[in-house]
Amino acid sequence: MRIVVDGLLENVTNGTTVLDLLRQLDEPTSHIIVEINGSFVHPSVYAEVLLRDGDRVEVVYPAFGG
Amino acid sequence: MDSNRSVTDLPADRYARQTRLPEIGPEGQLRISAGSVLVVGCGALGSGIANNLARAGVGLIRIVDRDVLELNNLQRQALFDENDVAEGLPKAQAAARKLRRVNSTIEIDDRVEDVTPRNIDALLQGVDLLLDGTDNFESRYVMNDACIKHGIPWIYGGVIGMTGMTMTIRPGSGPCLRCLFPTAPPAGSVPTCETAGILNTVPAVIASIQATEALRLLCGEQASSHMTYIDMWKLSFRQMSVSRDDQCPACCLRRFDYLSTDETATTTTLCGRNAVQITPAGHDTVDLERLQEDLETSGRVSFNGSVLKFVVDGREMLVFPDGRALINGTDDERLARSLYARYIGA
Repeated sequence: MRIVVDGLLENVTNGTTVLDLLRQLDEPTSHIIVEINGSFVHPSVYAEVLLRDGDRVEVVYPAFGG
Repeated sequence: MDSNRSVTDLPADRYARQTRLPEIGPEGQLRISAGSVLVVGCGALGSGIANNLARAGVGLIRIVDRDVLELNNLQRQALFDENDVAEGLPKAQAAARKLRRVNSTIEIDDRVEDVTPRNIDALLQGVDLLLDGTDNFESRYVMNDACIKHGIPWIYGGVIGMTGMTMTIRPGSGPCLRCLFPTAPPAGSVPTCETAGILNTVPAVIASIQATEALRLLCGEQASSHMTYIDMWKLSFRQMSVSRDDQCPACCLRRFDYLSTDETATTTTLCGRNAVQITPAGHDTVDLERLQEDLETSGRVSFNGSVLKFVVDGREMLVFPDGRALINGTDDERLARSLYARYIGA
């Protein structure tokens, strides 16, 4: 299935979770922001949330300075 | 115009441009003037927040910051100037001095302290809301737990590089910091403004959003329920909806892990700063004049009435009245603790 990650098309297999995607993209798996279709995904469910065809995913590095 | 009339006698004139706004009006101005806020951290975000809120007439602004001004702060911290840096003033004091000149009709309460589980309740005493101008997780988790516990709204703000984000945390009706990031990241694992840099327009925008949220809340409006994320260089401005995590230890399970007080001295490495902070366990005030006399034979020592500066073995130690010390020129916590114990006494 096809999803959009940070504006770019990506092909992922059925059953791919958020955690799988982060690993495939070589992204950190904590202390980042994952947004799917405009909603924040809680880190506690990265391993459970399945991606769906057409999902728009954003992986954002949070701003922690001040 | 009568030259004997002080601007402080003209509150209607002072705030005319905002009371004209139907969203605020005279009623809103009364609420703003009766409002009390705590601004934690007075760097780029905190000084921008405090500047806006003081000019808007918030009745009490309590500013807490643990640091002393450095020249590199002037690139983005708009309340300060070269004279403040030359005086080596703590940021909270320099900010308060400036803000009292800006608006003498409000109360500015400056505190040169680190925010810890030991003092957060006292700092929150009597305030309607807290605004985050900090640059570190330790303080934010303490603030988050304390605000959730006491039901006080707080407004997160963070910046790095070209980006910034802000979110209003509404105890009881929305997510908290630990819903987003359940635990603090390990020290050194996330970039800081010192290591990654910061575009000076980013904190100006984030601080303005935070101050706007504060004014809205003081006027009785509902807080925004979104996280706002900006990339200034790309001129991108996004909002995302965030829900509570029903397993959140703080806001759902009401377990306030970051408020447990530790009665030993704490040592914090300030990432990217080549500095270590030592916070003693006690609450006693240190007599810095006397300490200056004691240290005169051991190294170069000076005291400007606010902070004692002591240079020994090529390292600079800044000691504050609450006994806290910043040891510059090392990131070795053991060495820092040893210097502290040797010269200040643990």
